Amino acid sequence: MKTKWLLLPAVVIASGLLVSAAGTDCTFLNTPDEYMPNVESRHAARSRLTDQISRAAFDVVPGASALEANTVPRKNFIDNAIFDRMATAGIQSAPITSDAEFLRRVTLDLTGRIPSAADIDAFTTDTNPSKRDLKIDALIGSPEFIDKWTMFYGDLLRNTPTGTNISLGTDDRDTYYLYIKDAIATNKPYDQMARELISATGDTLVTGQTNWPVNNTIAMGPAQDTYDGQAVQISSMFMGINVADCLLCHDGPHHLDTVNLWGSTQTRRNMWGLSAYFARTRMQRVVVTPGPPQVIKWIVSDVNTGDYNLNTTTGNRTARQPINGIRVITPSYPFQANGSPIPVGSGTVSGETYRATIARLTTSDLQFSRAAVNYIWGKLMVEAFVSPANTFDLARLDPNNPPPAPWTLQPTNPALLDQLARWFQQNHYDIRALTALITKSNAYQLSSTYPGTWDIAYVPYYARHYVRRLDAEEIHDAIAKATGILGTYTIGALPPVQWAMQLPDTRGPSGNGAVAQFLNAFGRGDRDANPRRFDGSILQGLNLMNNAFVMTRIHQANAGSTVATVLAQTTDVPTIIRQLYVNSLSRQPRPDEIAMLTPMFQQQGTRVAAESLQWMLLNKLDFIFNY
Amino acid sequence: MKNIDSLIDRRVFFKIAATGLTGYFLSPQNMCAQIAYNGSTTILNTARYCIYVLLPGAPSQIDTFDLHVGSWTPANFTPNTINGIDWPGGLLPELGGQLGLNNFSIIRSCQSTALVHNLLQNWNQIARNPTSATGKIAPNIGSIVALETEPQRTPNQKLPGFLSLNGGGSLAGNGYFPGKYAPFDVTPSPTGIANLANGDGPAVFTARYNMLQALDARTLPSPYGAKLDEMADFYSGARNLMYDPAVTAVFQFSTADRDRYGNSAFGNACVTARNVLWQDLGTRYIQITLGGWDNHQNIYANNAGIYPSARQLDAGLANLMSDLSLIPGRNGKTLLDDTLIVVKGEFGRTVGNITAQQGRDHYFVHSALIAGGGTRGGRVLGKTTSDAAYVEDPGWSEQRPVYAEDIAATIYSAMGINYATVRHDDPLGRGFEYIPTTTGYTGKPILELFQ
Repeated sequence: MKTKWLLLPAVVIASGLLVSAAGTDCTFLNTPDEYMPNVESRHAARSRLTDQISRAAFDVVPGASALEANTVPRKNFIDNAIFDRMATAGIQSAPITSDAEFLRRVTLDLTGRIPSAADIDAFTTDTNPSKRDLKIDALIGSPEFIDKWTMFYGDLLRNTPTGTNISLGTDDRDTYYLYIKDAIATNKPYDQMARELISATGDTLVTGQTNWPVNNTIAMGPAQDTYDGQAVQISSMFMGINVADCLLCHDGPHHLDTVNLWGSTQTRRNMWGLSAYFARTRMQRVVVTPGPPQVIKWIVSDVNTGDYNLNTTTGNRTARQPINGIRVITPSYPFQANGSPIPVGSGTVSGETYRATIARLTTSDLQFSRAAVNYIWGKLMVEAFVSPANTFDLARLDPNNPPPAPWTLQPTNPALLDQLARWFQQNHYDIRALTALITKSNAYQLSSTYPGTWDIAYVPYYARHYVRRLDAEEIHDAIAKATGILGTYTIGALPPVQWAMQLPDTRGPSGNGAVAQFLNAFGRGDRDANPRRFDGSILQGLNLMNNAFVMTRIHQANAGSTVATVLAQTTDVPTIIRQLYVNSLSRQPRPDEIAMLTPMFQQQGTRVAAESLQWMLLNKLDFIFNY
Repeated sequence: MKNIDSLIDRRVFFKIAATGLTGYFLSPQNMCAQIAYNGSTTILNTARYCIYVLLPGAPSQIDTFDLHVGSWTPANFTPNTINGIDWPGGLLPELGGQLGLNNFSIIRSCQSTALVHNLLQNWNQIARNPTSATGKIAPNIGSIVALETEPQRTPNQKLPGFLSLNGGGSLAGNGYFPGKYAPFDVTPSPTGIANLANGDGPAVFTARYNMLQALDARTLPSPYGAKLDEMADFYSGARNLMYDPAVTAVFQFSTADRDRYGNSAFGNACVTARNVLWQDLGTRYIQITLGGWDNHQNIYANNAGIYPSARQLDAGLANLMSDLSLIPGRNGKTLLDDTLIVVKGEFGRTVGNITAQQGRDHYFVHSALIAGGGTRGGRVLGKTTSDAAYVEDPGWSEQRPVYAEDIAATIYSAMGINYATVRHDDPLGRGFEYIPTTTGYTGKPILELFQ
């Protein structure tokens, strides 16, 4: 008998949707930030990388000892939390950074750039005892700070022109980019930014924040799939809770039992309450110009009717069918830590749209603040409180109410995380104030070197600063700045830029494919299916050694290069070595390095040796890491 | 058929002794913590290599591998029947020639479960729904092959296990696997691939590189844990690829080859794939990407629509198949016997009359072309209805359409890899299945291809 293999109407149910007792069918889980098998192995890798890179950059002075935690000066409450805890555990602290180590690190962390030779000279000779705080203030007030954190939030908010479920197009990407950039430039309170994004209405070509809801569209399914998509992004992006994605297909028990303690007690019905807040939002796609090139936009609006109905059998999620006669889900806030559900409909203010309500409820939740703080802490301190940053477990956060064994408290420092979260709330979710608070602490300013014996178990105590590889854009910009030769890249409708950190997404520049490929080799991802990553590859080695981007910047004959400038100023070999080191690695060469390099100048001749040294510095292990 | 004798001569020339540089793929990875296997499996172990030709954009199946002739069919398609198989001889003449030699088979019962480009391109490369639990950490099939074949590498094999040619934005990466299993993505050209040589010449480069090693030598192995992916390892791996005559040669080819393969980006990739496998320098899985198939408009327009991509596919793939079939392989067979070739788009295109935009839109049913690797060529597996709208006969024992997971299981089985593997080194802590269990089906190798 011939059977027609009928395709299901509309779309076919995607794979892996049946509930099963084995717990192996949880089908929706967002991207982990780091691909490490477990916490312990991540701590081991963190320790090893930090140990190696710090030794690449610095001598650990023989006989130097680590600091007693109680003796480290306390700059703010972060220091109290960090060093008190270290003292109690009997763990010694790394020494405070030298000026050079501090300046390079904080300049990269806050602005995505290496400091110039002039910056380094001015800073190291400055005798003002407050110079570090003043430098931090200056960096935060700089245009480069805006570029760096626009890129950071562009990653979080997934601003990309083409995606797995929906493609915004480059025009909408541009307005989205300009919205984010303006928010950072004006230091818009982060909670206000989140509310603007969540409840955005208007035209995506005009009102940048409307790209947020549009970007959460889930294709090839009923409207409820997109309502769920909005719920997942609110939960994952703004609350750091990705298990909402799991819970929108099935209940927690028998699925999340070993994944997320809070989630393991939650129900799908409860999580639907979050999706229901999006049931009265309409997003109408409009073809502005058929093209090619095609220009599309969406009009996002709120209407007075619409419900989250339990009446689907197809699409991207398991069937939604009535439960105990209930056919319609009323909006309700799903996040609470103590197990008691919030009464249905609570929190709704008369006249408020559904989305305005959920925006308000979400951004006033302490968890929103925790998640926000955790992102920034993770970017600056390298080891986040909770990692990956969207895997928060609401049942494992309270140090006064720890979870039952074998579960442990989740954050590296639960008390400090909560303290910072409340501080952030009280300080109007001021991103600049938070970055200043963290970088001004001595906890941030500890060296990455560690005299004495390091134990992997020390990692959550932040007893030293951890090493991170530079972002792809930072690597490109560091090469350009170190060698003194900038490019100019066209990026479509927006004005041309000279720095990779100014690109509006992680796919361009559209005007220079070679540079785009160079950036891709360093794992900047596509803000969609491929997240940003920091592991190495052979392609990275080949690019740093041989790519024209590097090779057109290292020679005396390359007009405007640092090599040309230095050779025009002096023929003294130690000076040449020092100048090149300072410009590329933001530090002085060590005596053993000078001793190793000097013969090369005699053998190769000054010009060739200088070019060799410039090449070597860009390929040196400590060039592409921040320590 | 072009003369391949010159190829055989050069092959002898290429077998140069290794430079002896070890330390490329250094210490064993911290993987394989625990492995488990689900159920009984059939591991065929007939193929040493796999070439996966991904056709993003989704080619129209009724104009190519599942030819259905109608009033829409352009005359220059010259539909004919080769060994009983309907084929667009005018559109894909050289592949028609290969079909006449029984060098490939066709699966006509493939089906996708959604119609979104990026989603399904990713799905096919990672053998699961990208939005599923393991979707976001899942490595490309090629990365799994690279990891599984790692223990078989010899010191002279310097190329990464997984090579990608003309990858582009749709290329799926190594997921949670370490960087050494990432696709090594290059753009082939007759003069070689980029960044393998230093612009200042080998002598100057070597001096600089050696001095760089000396400067960085203080980063000795750390006592804090086993070595994972080191930047230093990648540097030495990169260095080993440079100025190695075998490596340089494998990425270069003559203009004669370039022209025979169609003088196109895809053709260049096919020549390179042939050379890379021929020299057996460590690569076991090659993904080649050929796009341009998303013909929503003007699909039959002169020198546009489906024609440019079809032309590239025809010349490149046919000559690749042909050359591989003439190069000796293992145990008296050919290199084509040793190489499983899979050619597939992410879904199909609408059937019957073309649309108002003179094109075809997305459609679930599609076809795949399979060659080599122990498969028996010259057959069609699966059948669509006379109007091509549905799969009428799945054509295999599972009695259901063929999904991306089945293709992946077939690749693993052919290459001697247990497709039922569940790794317990994944960051999610739930276990990572090479072939995920899903609701309606579990991916299985299509044994009928080999029987």
